[in-house]
Amino acid sequence: MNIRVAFYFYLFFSFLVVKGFGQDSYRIGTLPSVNLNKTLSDEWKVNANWQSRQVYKTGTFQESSESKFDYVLNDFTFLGSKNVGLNNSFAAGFLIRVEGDQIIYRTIQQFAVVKRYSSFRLAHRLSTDQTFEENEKTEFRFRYRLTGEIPLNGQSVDQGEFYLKVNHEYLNSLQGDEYDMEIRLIPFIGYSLNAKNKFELGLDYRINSFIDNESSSSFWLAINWYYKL
Amino acid sequence: MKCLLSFSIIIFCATSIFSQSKFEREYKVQESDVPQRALQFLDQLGTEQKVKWYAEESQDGKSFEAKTIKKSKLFSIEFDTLGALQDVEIEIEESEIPKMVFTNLCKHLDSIFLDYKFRKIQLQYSGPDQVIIDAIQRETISSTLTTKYEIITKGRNESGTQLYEITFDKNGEMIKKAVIVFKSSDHLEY
Repeated sequence: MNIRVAFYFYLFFSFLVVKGFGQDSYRIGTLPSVNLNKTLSDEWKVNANWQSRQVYKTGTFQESSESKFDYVLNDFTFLGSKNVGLNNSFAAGFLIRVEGDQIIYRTIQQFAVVKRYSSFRLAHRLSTDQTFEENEKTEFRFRYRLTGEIPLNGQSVDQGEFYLKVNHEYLNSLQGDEYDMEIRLIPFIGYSLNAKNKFELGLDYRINSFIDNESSSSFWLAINWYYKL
Repeated sequence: MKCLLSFSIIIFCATSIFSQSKFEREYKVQESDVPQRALQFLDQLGTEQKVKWYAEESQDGKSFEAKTIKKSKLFSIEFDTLGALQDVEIEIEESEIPKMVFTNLCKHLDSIFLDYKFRKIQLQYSGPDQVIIDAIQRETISSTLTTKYEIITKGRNESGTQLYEITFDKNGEMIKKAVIVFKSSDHLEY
């Protein structure tokens, strides 16, 4: 089976699974981000990312909801990455989260594989992170993300062309004795302005706490800007 | 304060959006956009599946490319803007390269790389239209037919591992070698 067709099937069935979970509380908001990337050499590159989170509406699916604007947080992430072989890269770095008066620190390690097919790119990302917050136990997460990129015109994404990008991610979290899993499904429409700039608009859907049937869903309008320095 | 910070970051970055870069674009086109002469060549050649047409634009000019399947092989056929045939590329297996040519070709690769792996092999024909059609349909090789082998190989040398496009002539002598530069995958990794 063609890898691109297999990816469509995977997403279709993943979406059915996600929709099957019971859903209680929800949040609706925006998630803008700016992603700056600099290639230092054939092997090394660095990435700096700013992402913020705004909530416009919260509630429960069957009952009440409240519309209220809340600028929740700012995340600043810095990663150094080393290419290993043709398609693989190791990255490590940290995140600083500014949430109200609180500052949260996170260390990140990731391994990414980008496979190139005719008319299609598929990326696997395995990552671990550790979150340190005052008066809280350290949270350890293990994540796997599958990303597919589908050009909407031609066989590869050239400048001035649109593309589809779909992220599907599983996040396992352990904090003290508490385990939780979050699933994310994020379809994007992207536009490659030129070799340096890419813009993406998508719906970031997240569901967690579904293991004990008290699920929490988030719907974010994600707006990404990738810029190559 | 938070909104101001976000706004400042966006404004700071927005100044860098419009930058100059090398122009290169490949996109799908309809059959009706393709020169008649190119369509006639495809008719003469005969194909087993639907033909997909692409246009390629760069600073060097524009060309059209047809992708199709014939005899269970993937064909890429390139034309200029007037529909004149540039070349025909046919994806083949390692075993389909004549033994002597393959031996020569491997000698060259052994001298360049510590280790290598074939990713894709294409037989490339250029020459008069009818000569190419005869070569494909009847396997009749005329002296006016130019045969080349274009190989995509993952090669490792002292400076690291990269993907190369290497062209060999009909005897397996190397004509051209170029490193394939990948498009940015930052938006897939982060």
